[in-house]
Amino acid sequence: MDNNCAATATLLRVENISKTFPGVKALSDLTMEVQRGEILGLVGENGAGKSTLIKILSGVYKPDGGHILIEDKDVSFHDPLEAVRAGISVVYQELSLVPNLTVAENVFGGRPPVNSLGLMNVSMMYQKTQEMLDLFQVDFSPRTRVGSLSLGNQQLVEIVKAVSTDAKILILDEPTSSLSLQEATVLFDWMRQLRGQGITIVFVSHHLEEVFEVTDRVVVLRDGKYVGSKITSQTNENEIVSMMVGRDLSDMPSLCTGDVCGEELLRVEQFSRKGVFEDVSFNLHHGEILTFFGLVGAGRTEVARALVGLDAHTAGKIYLRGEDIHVQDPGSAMNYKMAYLSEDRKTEGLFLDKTIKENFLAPNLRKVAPRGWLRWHILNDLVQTYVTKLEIRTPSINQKINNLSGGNQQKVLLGEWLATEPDVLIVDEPTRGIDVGTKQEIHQLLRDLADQGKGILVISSDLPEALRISDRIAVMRKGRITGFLTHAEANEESVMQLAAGGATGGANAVNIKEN
Amino acid sequence: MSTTQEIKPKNQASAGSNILKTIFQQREIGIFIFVLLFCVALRMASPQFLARANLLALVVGMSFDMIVAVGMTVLMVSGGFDMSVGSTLALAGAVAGYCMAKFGLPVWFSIVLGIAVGGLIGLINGLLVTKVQVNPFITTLGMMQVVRGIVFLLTSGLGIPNLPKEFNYFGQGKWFDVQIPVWIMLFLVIVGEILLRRSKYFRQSYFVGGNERSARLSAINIDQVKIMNYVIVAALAALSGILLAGRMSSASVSAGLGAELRVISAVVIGGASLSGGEGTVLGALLGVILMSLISNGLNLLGINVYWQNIVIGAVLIIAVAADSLSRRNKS
Repeated sequence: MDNNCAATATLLRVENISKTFPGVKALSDLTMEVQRGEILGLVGENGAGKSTLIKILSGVYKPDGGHILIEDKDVSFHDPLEAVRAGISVVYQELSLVPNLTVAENVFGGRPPVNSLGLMNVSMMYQKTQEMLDLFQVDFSPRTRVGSLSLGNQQLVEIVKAVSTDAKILILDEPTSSLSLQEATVLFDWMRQLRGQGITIVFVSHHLEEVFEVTDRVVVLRDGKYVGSKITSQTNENEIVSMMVGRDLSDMPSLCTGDVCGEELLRVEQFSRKGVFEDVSFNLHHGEILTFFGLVGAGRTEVARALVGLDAHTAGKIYLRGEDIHVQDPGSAMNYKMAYLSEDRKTEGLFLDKTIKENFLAPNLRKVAPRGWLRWHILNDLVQTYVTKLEIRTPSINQKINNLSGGNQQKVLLGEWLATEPDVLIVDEPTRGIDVGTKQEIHQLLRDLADQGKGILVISSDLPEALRISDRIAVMRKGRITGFLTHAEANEESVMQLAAGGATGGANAVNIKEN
Repeated sequence: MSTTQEIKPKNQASAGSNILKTIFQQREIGIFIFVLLFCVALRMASPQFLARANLLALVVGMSFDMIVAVGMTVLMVSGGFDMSVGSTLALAGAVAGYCMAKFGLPVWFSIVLGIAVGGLIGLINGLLVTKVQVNPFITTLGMMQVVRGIVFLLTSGLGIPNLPKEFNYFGQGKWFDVQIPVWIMLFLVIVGEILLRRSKYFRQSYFVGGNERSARLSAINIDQVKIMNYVIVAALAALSGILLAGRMSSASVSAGLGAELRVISAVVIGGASLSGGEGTVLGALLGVILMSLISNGLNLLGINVYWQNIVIGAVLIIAVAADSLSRRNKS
């Protein structure tokens, strides 16, 4: 297949690259090529290894083994600067611009043009930036403060900055995630423009229709391995989706029977937060695990945060057991017996410098201090109960959280919130960064909690996990629910089609976005 | 299943050594030992050290800073910081003195008013820090100068001398042969220590200072806790200012000059961290005691008074450096 591009030589080749993180094999023996002058789409599920590959190419990570060849020359990068010198520039999903500086100052950053005295040549800097901006026909000047530009234009500044280092290869990591549809279309024009100037582009995206719109060729990764490459014009979305999924699930047997729906516990109607998610409606039953699946940036976490009052919502209603409730802040969520466990347990959830005991105290102050005074024996009993119940492995309840493994940290977080006796438990990425053994324990625990009658809302980017534990899966994409799948209907392909926009789900989502 | 059974006995077996370990990990114990050693050294160097008059003067002298330090501890535990306490201290004395001297208002009313004005300054600090999101250092640094300016304006730069006897009683009177400010300090230290350790409300400060985002998820009203703490420290500074004015029989424009630095240093020596989440009133008390002992000791030994600043500054840095080094070793 690749031979169609035979006229253009190979610009970048990675050979047998491997990278292991504690407990995870992020890349194994990956070999792939990037051809000179192409726009290459790099796709794969969450955790397929795209980000790791980019970080290796840009010198952020060092591979455990393998080679990187640029124009057939073996290179190795010790830091990002060496990668830039070798001609590889990356524009990350999160912009790294300084909002208070002008466009030109941002573009030239730490290496402005200098005059013979070694002083900064300001006029030269602005002139050069203007030349670059002219190529893209934009309506702002190099003297504009970056903070006053739209996100789309900031993205362009970031691209101009990357290209200004004489990049041969420009890697764009999810460049459209914060852009509107129009801005994305403009971005694709710019990408074609750059290709016309001989710059090779690697485009990483979760959204297949974008990949099909702009790329010449697509490379699919799965589980840190190279699956295959297709010429874009000779394939279709369904073929790519089936290359992305199709993992052996036999080692993780399903945990649900699919027929456990009790009475309705929570109903959410037309829930919206302007510009973030829209028209999200679903219900959750006693004894049910409902998983919100979606690719990173689909808006799932944002829905959960608004549900428990961490962020405001702009429209919609929440009914708890049929009663219309208003959740303004986490305190009122707690009164309604709703608990939210954040995806980022270290910065939002746990107090790392404090002991297990003190961490349990935080959400349970009311329980432990019924009359305003702490009763240590209540706390000790509470902590001991959950440490035993959840099998938290620690020498003592006075151990600092910092000294626990990721899995045990997650169990502490789960335990302290279970101690508040919630009816609705919202768990965001329950097993992110956790070893396989503890992962299974947490899955079983969630199942047991559901069987006790709690309603559990899981947010997961881990497809096998979603398939394994859920009674129902709600798939989100670009801030909307694109569909619900029952346990019986859900499989890797049906979920991924709704999430990434294969045949049916994709068409739907695009229509909604344009409304 | 088996894991839980294994863990239990291990817990009990190591309980004894755990207690010892936690005791020695406490910052308070370290300073306490240091304070004791310092006392022994002083006793040997100067026989006057343990004289009743000297000890009493020492305790009265530190009571004004310590009253402020109780509030500062609570505030710093919640991640806050107040540079304006010295000025607030002076303002409360000036306001109370002004009310009595100019309008002949009753003593008790003037005292209440002085403390209320202090609380108001704390409220403004708290609102600026939480609702307007001005950096606490900048907010209170500005407030420190504004308030000191007001003190000068209010008293035409001269202070207010010859305060009434009934007012001075609170600074000079004695209960059981010990000056009233000392009793008030003791009362506040005990109450502060118990509240910060045991009360649900004040315990929240540790979570706010430890990790604000996690605290918010735990349904803690962060802004309310912070604002309240700014009010508390300012009101205590005002109380201290009233007692000091009473002790001097006059409200001085230079009252509390530099108090903010002494108090913050003492609280930090006592184990609080500028980033919040740590600290106890007991630690702050030991910090204040240590600093008073240093000044007192240098005085008794007849060492040039300028050395005091050098020694106290060095102790502050050494205390924090030692803590930081021991942390690094642990992790």
